[in-house]
Amino acid sequence: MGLVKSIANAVKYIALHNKKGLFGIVILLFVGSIAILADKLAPYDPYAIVAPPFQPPSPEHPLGTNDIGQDILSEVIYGARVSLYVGLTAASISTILGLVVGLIAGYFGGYVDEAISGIIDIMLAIPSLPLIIILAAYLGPSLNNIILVLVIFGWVGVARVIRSQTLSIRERTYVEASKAVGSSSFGIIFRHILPSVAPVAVAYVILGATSAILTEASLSFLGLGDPTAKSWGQILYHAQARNALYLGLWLWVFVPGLFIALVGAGFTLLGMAIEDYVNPKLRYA
Amino acid sequence: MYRYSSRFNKSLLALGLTISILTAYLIGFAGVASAAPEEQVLKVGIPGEIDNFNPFTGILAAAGYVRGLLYQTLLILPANRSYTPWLAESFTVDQNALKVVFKLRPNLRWDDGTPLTSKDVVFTFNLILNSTYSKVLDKWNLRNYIEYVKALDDRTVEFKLKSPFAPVLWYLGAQVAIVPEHIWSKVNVTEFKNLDNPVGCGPYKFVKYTPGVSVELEANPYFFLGKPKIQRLVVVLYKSVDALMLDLQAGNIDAIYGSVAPELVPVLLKNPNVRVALPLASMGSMRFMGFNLEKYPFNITEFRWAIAYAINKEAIVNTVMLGYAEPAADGWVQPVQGIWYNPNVTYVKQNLTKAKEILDKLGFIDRNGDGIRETPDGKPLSISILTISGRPEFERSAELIMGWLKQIGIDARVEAQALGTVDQREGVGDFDIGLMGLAGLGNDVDWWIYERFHSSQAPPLGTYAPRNWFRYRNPEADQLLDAQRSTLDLELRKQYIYKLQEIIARDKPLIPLYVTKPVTAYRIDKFEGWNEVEGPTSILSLMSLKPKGPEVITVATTVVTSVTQPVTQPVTITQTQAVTVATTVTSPVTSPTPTEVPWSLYAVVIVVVVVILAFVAFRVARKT
Amino acid sequence: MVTRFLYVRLLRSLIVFLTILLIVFILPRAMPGNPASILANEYQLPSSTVKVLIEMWKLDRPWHEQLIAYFQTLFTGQWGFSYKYYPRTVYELVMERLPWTLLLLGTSSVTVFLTGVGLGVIAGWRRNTKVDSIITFSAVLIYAVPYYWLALLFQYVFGYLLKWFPITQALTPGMIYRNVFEYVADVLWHLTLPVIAMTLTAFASYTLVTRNSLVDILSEDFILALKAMGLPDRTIMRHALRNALLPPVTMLAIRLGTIVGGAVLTETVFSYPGIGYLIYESILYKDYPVLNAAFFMLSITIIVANLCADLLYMLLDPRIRYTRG
Repeated sequence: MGLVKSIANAVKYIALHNKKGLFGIVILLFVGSIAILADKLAPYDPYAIVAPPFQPPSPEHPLGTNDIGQDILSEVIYGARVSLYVGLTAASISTILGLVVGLIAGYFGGYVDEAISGIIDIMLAIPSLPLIIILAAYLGPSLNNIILVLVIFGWVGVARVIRSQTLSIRERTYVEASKAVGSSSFGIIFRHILPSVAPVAVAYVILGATSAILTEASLSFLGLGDPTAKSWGQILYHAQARNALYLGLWLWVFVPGLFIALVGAGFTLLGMAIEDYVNPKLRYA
Repeated sequence: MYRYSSRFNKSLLALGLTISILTAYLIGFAGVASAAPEEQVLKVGIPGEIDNFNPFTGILAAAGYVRGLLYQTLLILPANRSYTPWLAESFTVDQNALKVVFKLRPNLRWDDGTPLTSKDVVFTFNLILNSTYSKVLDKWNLRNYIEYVKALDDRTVEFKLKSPFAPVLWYLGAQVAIVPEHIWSKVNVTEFKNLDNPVGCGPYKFVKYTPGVSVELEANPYFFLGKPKIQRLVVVLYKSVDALMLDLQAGNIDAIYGSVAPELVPVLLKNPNVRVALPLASMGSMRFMGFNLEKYPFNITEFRWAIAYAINKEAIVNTVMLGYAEPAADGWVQPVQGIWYNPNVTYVKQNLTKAKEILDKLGFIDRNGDGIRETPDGKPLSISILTISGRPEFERSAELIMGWLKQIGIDARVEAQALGTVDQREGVGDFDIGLMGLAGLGNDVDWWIYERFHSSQAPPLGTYAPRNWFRYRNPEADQLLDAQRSTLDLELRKQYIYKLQEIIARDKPLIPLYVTKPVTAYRIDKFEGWNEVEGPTSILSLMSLKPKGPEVITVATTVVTSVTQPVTQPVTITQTQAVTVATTVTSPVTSPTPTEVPWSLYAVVIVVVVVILAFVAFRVARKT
Repeated sequence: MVTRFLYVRLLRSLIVFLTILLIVFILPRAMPGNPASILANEYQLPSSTVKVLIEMWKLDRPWHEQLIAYFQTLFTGQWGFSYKYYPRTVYELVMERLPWTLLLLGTSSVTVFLTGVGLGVIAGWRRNTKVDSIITFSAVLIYAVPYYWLALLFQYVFGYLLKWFPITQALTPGMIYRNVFEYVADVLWHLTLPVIAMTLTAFASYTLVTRNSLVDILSEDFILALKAMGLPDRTIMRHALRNALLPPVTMLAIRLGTIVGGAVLTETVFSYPGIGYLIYESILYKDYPVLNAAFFMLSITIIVANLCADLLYMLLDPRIRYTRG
């Protein structure tokens, strides 16, 4: 209960007091509703071949058609689903993983903590992008593999922050008191520590989603994405591969990229607002 | 006061720096924009990299073009697909005595002036057949077929075969480039890069290689067909095809080696000096899908026929390739392969009703009404199409096929993986359907067909099979494959190959999808005499090229050849192609457009300088 | 205390280094497909060649022998021949491309850092004003713009439509230079678009970090004390900046891996003849010698940079500041 309440409080606060956060929420609601209503909004099935290839924009196809005659607008609309799915899934899984690891390390301390911190330190120093490219290339392009790759490198940052937060909360008097009363470790973590670190975790889901969406798009652009998934990165990949710009079909490139930037900005604004809420020291009008 | 003056100095310094950088920039642009026009240099743009100029070990295509200009073979196989004398002026094949004799042209010379004799030929073949390097150099296992090679005199070379070997002329005549003994006898052949000063015998000789930038060549006065009329040839290396296209349009290069993306053809033709050609000699490559014949239900011939009926090859050709391809014949051998193609073997046209009927008859019926058929024992019929990631052409073809299979009730999905993974999974038989590409239509038909279909090349599942990975085993086909290989009688061999095509089309172990028609492009403003049939950058074209004279030439003939295609089956000409033809015919010949100087850029830079100046002046004035 | 800290850091770096090397050894080999058949497939080589190549490259040896050979070749610098560009050596290939990558990444890192930190300082100094709002807000908006997308649009507008700058490559192909200046100008001309695109898409995080750290420091006691003493703004700024720049500087060092990863994208979009594209190609073709050498050098660079960042932190640690202040 405490968890839900604290998140609700955060959202309320941000909506009322943080203009940038509100802007982020608006963007995300906009793109989110596109994703949810994709089958109502999209004029065509994004996989259906509805016109000759490489058609310039026209009333029937406001963004034109792609290299095999699919409607680009429909592709972009369905792309919201794929990109949000990848971003949110990857970010949630890595945050949950990081949360568990961070809580364990922070609460139990000792050798457990030393071992986990060691691993975290090493993972943080490993250059992730080149290794992500290697992993994606060899695992084979599918959405789930991309999510897997993003999780492998995504949990580390969360774990580090949660660990240090847990460390400081553990020392507080009420936690000490519950311990003295004889509450189980699980109970203490669940009742006292989790609600305090939850906003941080939520901030990480939000910020992590940005980088997950961007990384998925980059991998797709390099040709390492799922070829039949209609993600924005995949649309860009095909546009680039078939020389869309030289054919004057610049909307084919412009719109999907714009959506990536927009969603990224939305998540970042919201994430920063949550961070502000958690750590009011940096708050500004 | 002190502080202000120091600030003033700093501002001045910053200002000076900014201005000098901008000036350097402007001068730079001026320099770039006004690079002096050079004398007659033919520039050929190639996408790719140079690995080496060693004809035995080199594999990259860009370097292959240069290697092909430098090192020559005894015979060539031009667009008409018949063996034509090249370094050799004549050749004879003695069927009974199993001897092949080549007679070299008189007075052949290497481009360093030393005579090229039969000793060089014997040396080259001995490198391959019996030297310490044979293991690496004898890629085709010629050792199994050739007993010896010897020089009968300065101009005559004799090969003795161990047994009749049909593709012998192709391997001996058209595959092996002759290298000079006086150089190659002193080097470690397998590790020889030959990048510094390769000595060859082609129309052009090597001058200079700048890594990653260009290879410069000059006309070889000793070339046996005479010295080319254009003195200098620069092969310009490109990292991307886009840049290549733009430079061709801008006139920075005169021709490209390689093919143009079909969608760019109308863009290129906007420039009246650019022509596109579909050279007969560049055979294109084939795309096909192979079934895993050891896996249910792909081991059922009728099932494969059902899939064949689901595929619309014309639609793939017209969408993915925009018409710049031919639907492929089902018998594996293609019309472009000339005499070997059996014209009775065509391809199955899409017929979804028929496909569904076959599936119904086989007991693949959708019993639970979810739109997906189930196998007779109740499992949903779902299959994967394995193809290579990062190749839009393959991925898109697979996507189209996926759609058609869904229409006949098969739950298909596309699995794209890295080339290595695909290769390995197909090799060991871990796949359902593999969608692959294959070049080499110009090779001897034995190369094209033997290892692909012979059961000796189909090991059990789990063992890597490089060519026959779909694991086709048919004793009747084996017999014909062996028979065609061991006859020197052309007519008889043709009959065997014809029969093979019928068997393959009947059994459908794989479905050839289409054969690409490579489009290439060149400019007509500086040079004339391009040979479109052999390809604008081919040696025969280089020999007929000359600087464009002052008189205006008519391009009508050129235009006609540029749209003549190796049409053997009725082709639907797509909109794009129609546009292409029209544009080509109506383009007038105009003088070359001058290099564009970016005036707008000058303007912007000047404005920026003025703004900075004003800003600094303002700051300084306010402080003092 | 300090020496122990150093030892721990060095040990950690060593572990990281070996981990990367092991990952790079295991991953490509654990996945299906071998380099010889990839090349055979790509270039239609006869199947007998594949066997010869596998033997020549010693890919048929047991894995522990390969692992030993792997470390031997890396540490002795005998990187051998590239598989794809045989018989060119890895050293040759890397040296041909490394200068371009250094030029591109060096220039753009400098411009990214200067732009990012500069704007961050302005925003932080004028915190909670309109200027601050505009700068931080636009930094956030730009933060998530995909680099390659902006680069493509730049290529289209400035390269294709306006023809101000070349679209791809590092030099005009086939150009013959009359003097050094022409060469330099040509290089700069080709460098402009990638660097501007990179600067615009990468500066935002530096701006945000710098701004926040400056705001943090400006609210600290010692700055307030300086202000109370009536020192001019410039002096206060100088003191604040020295500390506020620490986070962006370390960020630069830590981000090196990401920057090099980004080089793959940059060099793909602009067809720049750098090492990023070579790495990408070596991954796809399983060109082990190139892959190994590239990651060997990459990890050394990153570890050295990280160590430098650690040392920097140690030297400029806040505690030292307080004891002196």
